[in-house]
Amino acid sequence: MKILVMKFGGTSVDSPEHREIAARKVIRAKEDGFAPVVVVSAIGRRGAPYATDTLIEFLRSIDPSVPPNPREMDLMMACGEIISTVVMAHTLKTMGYDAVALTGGQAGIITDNEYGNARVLQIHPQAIRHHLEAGRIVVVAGFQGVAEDKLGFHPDITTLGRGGSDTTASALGAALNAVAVEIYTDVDGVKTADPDIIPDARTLPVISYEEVAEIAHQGAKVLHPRAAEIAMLHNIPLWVKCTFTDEPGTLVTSSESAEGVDLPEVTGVTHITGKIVYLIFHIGETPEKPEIELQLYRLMAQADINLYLNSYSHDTLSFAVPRDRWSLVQSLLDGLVMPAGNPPQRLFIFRVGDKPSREYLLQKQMLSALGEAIPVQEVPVEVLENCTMVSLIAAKLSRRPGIMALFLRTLYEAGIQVLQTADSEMSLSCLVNESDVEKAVRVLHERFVTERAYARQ
Amino acid sequence: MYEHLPQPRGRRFFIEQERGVTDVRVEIGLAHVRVRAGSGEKGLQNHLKVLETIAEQGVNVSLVKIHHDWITFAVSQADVPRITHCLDSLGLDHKIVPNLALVITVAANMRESAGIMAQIAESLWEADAHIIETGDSHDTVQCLVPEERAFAAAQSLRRRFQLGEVVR
Repeated sequence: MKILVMKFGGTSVDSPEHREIAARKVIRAKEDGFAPVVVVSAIGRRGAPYATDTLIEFLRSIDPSVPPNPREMDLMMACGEIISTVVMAHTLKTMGYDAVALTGGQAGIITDNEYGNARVLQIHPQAIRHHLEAGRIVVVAGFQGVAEDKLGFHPDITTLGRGGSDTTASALGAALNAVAVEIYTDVDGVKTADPDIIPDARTLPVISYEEVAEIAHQGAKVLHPRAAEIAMLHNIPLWVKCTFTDEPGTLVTSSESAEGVDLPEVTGVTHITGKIVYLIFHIGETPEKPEIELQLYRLMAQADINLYLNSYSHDTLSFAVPRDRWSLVQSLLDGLVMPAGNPPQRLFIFRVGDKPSREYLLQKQMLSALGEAIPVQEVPVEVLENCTMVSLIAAKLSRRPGIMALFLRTLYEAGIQVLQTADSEMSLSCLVNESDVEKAVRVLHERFVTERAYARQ
Repeated sequence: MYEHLPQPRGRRFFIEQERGVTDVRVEIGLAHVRVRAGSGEKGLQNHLKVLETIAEQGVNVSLVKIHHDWITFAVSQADVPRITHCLDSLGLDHKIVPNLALVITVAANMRESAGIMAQIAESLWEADAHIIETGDSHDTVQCLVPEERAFAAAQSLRRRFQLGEVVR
């Protein structure tokens, strides 16, 4: 039995016409001799009656001051995919094909019990195989599973977190030893840049698992990185295709499998959409600097703040925080007094931004009572708000001499202020003002993808 | 409903990789270079001059960071004589710290793991490995530390994240 997993996202199933187009693709696969296992997301996006965000908002609207229990939130969110699954299975039946709808739990997807972001532990695919052997098309609700049952009760429904339906598709592909997993979306494959910024961005015919995971982590929304990582772990070929065209799409595979295929030197240019705030702590060249850095990291950890772009210098520490956590970070830092040494030899007081806040001034006044008893050193914190990251994904090039120079020259010549850089085996990234993002994507795409200027280096 | 169907036997087969830190690695033989580039337009031109001159020598750089008046990066220890020659010829004030190593902590989805940097910094502090520079990607945090403390740092990280002992 040649099992083919086909996943359709929310925009592919958001109207009767779109569902029919999706169903015809499934039927074609069935007619071509495959045993299709269909994974669907909830119908539509925010505002649509059964979209995940709509269901979340409905629950929260009961009393915005009382956060819903994560277990109940998972139950609520799972409804969107279950509705979509039943609707798709029924659509296939109305078109003359026997189909069965399964929840994640009924499909045998077992997860840990981290509600809202559960990890798929194992899949018992007997039910799916049973229906496939009976000639049915199996439609499985994406984004959900059931937690391991340790107490003998009926297991709880869990959801898999962002990109959960892609994860479901890859996980089922692995468990069923599928010939391939096809992810259907509203673009015709993995592009060299966001087509909203670069309308003529190319569709890549083939890309490695590592590269697609990297572009997904760096902001591209075409495929969730967890899905790529599962496919890589189990070596399942993954296709990204468009629901509404018959274009071949992009094959995601291992670098070894792609041997003989011309994998691009530059995969593309990505940008993250969420804003970030970059902080530069001017600690000074003091012996206490490592201790202050450690205390700052502990403080951020206690507040559950994710940090990016960590950077040290002889007198500063810098990192970025998500924009939506900035008010919390600011309230923690402004006027903060941190002792260093055991017993304390010096106090460090943090001043956030250019203008001293009331909190800072109050703390400073209180410290003045200490007089000469213990030295107090100010740590100005420079704040760069509304920044975002643009990345060049170039696994074959990122360690080539001169690539960083060309990357920076391209940005500088376009008048773009580069606030910080980061580099890895897979990519070069820069932190820029949000207002420069589109320009940065354009010039980097022009230089590295269209002109392929690096070839002359 | 499906209890009559055969259940899987044998070893548990995990579909997704484990979350959290999965490995700690050490790369030795590195040096850290700090060049005073100045600020403003002159600073930008000096960034390019430094990186392009070094590239012409075929030297690869990593952990490139831009600071107010400085640009910093890491190079292979073996490239230090060529770097020194390049920077001397450009007439730019610079400082090179030799005998460093990169301690690389590998984890799935590092950027969504709040607190991981605190745990890494604590482990290195306990190992008396002073951090000279860091870099991070979605699946790694790289810390440049004195080579003489790198293996102690790796051991400390492995203990904290309950991994096996480091192989020297």
